[in-house]
Amino acid sequence: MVFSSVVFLYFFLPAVLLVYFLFPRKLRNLTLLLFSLLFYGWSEPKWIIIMLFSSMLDYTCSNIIEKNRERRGVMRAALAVSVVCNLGILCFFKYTDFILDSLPFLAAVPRLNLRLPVGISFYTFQTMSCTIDVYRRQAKAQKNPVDFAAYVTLFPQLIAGPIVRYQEIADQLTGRRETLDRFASGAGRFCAGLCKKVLLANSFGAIWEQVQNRTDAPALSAWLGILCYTMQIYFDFSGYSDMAIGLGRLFGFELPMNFNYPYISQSVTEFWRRWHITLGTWFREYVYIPLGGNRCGRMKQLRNLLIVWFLTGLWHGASWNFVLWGLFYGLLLTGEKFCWGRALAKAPRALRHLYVMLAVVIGWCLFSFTELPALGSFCKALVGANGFSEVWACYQLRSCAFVLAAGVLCCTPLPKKLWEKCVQKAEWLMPVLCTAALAVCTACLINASYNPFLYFRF
Amino acid sequence: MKRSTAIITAVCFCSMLGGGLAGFLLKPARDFSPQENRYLTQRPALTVSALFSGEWSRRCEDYLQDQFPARDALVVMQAALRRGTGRRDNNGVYFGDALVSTFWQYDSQCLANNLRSVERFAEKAEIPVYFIPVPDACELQRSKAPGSYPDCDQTALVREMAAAVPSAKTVDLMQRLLAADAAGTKLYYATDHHMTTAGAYQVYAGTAETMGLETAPEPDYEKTTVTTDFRGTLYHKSGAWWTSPDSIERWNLPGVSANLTILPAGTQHESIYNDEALTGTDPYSYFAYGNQPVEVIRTNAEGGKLLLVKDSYAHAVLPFLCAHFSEIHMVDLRYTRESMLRYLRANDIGCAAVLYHISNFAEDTNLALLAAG
Repeated sequence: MVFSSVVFLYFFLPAVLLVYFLFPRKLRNLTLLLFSLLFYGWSEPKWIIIMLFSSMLDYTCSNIIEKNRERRGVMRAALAVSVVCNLGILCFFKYTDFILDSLPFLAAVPRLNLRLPVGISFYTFQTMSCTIDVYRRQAKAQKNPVDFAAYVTLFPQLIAGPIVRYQEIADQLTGRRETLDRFASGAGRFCAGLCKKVLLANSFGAIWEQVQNRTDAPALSAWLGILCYTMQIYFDFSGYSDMAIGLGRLFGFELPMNFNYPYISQSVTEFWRRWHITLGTWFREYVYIPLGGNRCGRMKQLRNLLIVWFLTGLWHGASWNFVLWGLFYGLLLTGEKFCWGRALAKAPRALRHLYVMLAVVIGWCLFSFTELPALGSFCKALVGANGFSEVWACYQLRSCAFVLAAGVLCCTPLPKKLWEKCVQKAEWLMPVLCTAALAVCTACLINASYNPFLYFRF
Repeated sequence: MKRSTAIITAVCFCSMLGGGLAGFLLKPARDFSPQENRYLTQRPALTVSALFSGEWSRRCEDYLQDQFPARDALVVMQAALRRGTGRRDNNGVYFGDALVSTFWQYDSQCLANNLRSVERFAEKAEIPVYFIPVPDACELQRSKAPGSYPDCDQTALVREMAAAVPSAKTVDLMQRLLAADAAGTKLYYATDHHMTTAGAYQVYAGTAETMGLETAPEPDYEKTTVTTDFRGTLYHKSGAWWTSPDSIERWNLPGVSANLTILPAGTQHESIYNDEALTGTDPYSYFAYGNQPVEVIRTNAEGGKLLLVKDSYAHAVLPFLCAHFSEIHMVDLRYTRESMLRYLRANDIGCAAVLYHISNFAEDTNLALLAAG
């Protein structure tokens, strides 16, 4: 099930809210668990078993570690079992065919052709984080299997993040408080995220879709297309995160921020501090720092950066273009650290911004084409190999002028600041806009010809 | 946030969600949406296999969308929102005084195949063959839709098409239609992609000129408006339900009468017009009973037999042709598997015409039957 659907908004959500708040506090995590399973099973009835297996595995491992603090061997073994099993599940479903395809001498081996279970990259990382946190004494093992499973399956963040590390949420699992204020602000955040996804991301996606597979696009169309994709992926992803955070608040949770206006960044380093923050944090906490981070000399730091960005790329999809995309950012970040970082800091603001956006757009080109020849022909189109303009692009620019302007504006913190000022003076705007946003988004969903789910590769 | 604001926000949020749910549960399911002119999805049957394949939940989502309370209002709201934010199209339909569906990308391989079929048919038929590509509205409706939308140059395309079928006589309607449009004739419906009766008259006049037939001038026809409430496919698709409905006209030439037989069913009708269609879901099928495999029209006119291989654009042209042929065989290749060359000989037909609107001609994959056999 996805948030931007009629079934979620008007069936699932009212039902879960009703049951959740009618039942006594003791049963609330159980309610969340059962509804989360329903949420997941709605679109993935078969693979629900893997998610439950992963939950039970890490519940067991983290508790074994907690009980055997004195016995290093047992602790290590439990940690190893958790990491190996979770990565094993992830690799089996996500990377088997990719590995087979990449090794020429395995060409004869039959492929699995499995459809990736939704959200697997998110929940395996979360369950693993629990065992690791407990092993490092950063959190206490959860004694109650229901509470633990509720954390893993928690539907607001199940299929598209944010990736919540166990130590961030351990206390909230049992000690959170649902307040009216939090509920109202959660509703507002949810509506804002829904608008980002339905009104902005879907509009941009529909334009990109028309350019993506063309081989004869002139430069203007290609640029319009990739800019639309740039905005689609941001609004889609950050919209989902906003909805997740908003939904979390309805039930008293405070989930971590995932996007902080990445497109206003002044360097690629800053971009990655603002883009998919929880994933970056995860890799920093559980890969980069354990490998030694930047404390073991420059060569090792370079190696660590390479590993982290290789993995970051690969996490986004089982295809070489994602690896390339990760390494491209790894290269830019390394460059900023050791080469042009200082020069960049002195450059004019506009130039820095241009540099970041160019890097980001090139990044999204790498990200969106899984086939190298298609990427090549699209890059040629960008530099004008098929001419420069055409009626289609001019038409879209005129027709979508408002949406494009709104999109660009919403990539900056301006609308939010404006909103905060307005709402301070006229608080009644809050309920009015929430209602209007729900109505408008519902209208767009009801008559939806285009409402894609982008995370089927993650 | 003040406590009162928080309360009102929470109440608004919950009552929107709960209201949708309650509305859905209380409202009886609809079978058919007149505004969208389609059957709505009904509650899917729950089976174990459908449940585990995810098919059931997919169908449920369609069902919930289709049966959502106030669906019609929401659809028009979405269209209005698009229009209001400067968008000029919705679901592939361009907004304007007249709704227009555009035609700008096509499969050139498919078009080439179809042209080859027409050429082979004309070569082998041993009778005069006329090729009548009817331009799509977008070429002529530009003035009625704001700004230029992307479309291909049909004037040039018709010339290319004519060059590809040298054995047939191509009826180039473009100049005639442009002149009629400039003179203020409404050639296409505002809510439908088809041509109006006045537009069909222009197609007929162009065809008759190429065929060397003498046409009756416009004022000779008795014109009656048969409905003023025609909402066509573009209306239903676009959600632009603020567009006024069209009128359908019937032009009668005194003294001409015709009856119609639908094959292979063999159903006979005294008239080529179907009055019942005017109040039904597809008023355009007032003309010639809509899409049928084969229709044989027998008239009281002198003249030979005509084979008309066509799409629905021919239906409005048919009444005019009745004045010139004693028998017209209209064939829709989508619904029949007969070889047209064999059909010509079996029915002793002396003249053939292929009439399609251009975008359909470029995309239809059934034309191979023309030259088969």
